[in-house]
Amino acid sequence: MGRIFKFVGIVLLVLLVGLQFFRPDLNSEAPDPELDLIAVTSPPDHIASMFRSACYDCHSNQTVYPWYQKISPVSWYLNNHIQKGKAAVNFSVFESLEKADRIGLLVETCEVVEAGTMPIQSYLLLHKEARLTPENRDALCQWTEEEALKVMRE
Amino acid sequence: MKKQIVRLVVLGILFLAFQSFSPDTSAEKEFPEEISVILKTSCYDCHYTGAKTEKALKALNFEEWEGYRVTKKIALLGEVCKVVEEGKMPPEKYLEHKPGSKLTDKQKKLLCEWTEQEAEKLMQGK
Repeated sequence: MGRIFKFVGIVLLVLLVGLQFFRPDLNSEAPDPELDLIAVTSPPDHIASMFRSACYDCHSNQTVYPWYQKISPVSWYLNNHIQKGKAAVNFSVFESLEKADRIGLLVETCEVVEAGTMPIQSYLLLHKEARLTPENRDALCQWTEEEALKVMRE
Repeated sequence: MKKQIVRLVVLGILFLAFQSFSPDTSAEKEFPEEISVILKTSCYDCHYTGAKTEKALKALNFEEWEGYRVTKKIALLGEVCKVVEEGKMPPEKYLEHKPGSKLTDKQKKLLCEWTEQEAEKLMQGK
């Protein structure tokens, strides 16, 4: 009996190690200072850190990975989220969007945060720093609106 | 006496004539005719005051158009074109009941051209 357990254990371990060779590429490119939202708009620190801790992991080219998220199969699950998130919105290429789309994105950012649709629940479970207080949300919305008006007047 | 009557009649005529210059008091925007037709047949059933679709109304109510702030208008215009182009709007379920509301490719193009022009106007402060 004990032997079987040992055998199964070893097989699982080998499998887990083997899985590590099938790891998706990490989403960590250097930010482009000419396209990245934070680089281009240089928001106040508290706004920039909100974007980094509550949005950028899935909506930029710079995910900050806790160690366990680099391990397959967790990494696959995570990569799926990141790819979907970036396809919808990628703040790393903010400046490459048309003017009207930049305004739209800023307005929408405020709305999804205010409605509590973003950040998503599963993300908040593991990222306490991404939980936004009503004051955080108000500050973010005030900034996005000011910025949208700035883009408008460009 | 006769003079007074003539004056009164003239004043009356003037009063009536001025009625045609009364200001437009509705908060509703006047959209170009061809756009208006598209919106009425394919959008207003859910996105216009009186619709029972609360969520849709909250997202966009065309009757309240002029009440939206300018950045919100620009965002909505972009969104309108996007959801229509992607075929997300009008929703499939709705089209099952009202196949006549399905937009043709030509209508979609027309709508997107208009939303883009309108957003451009807004950005130029017009």
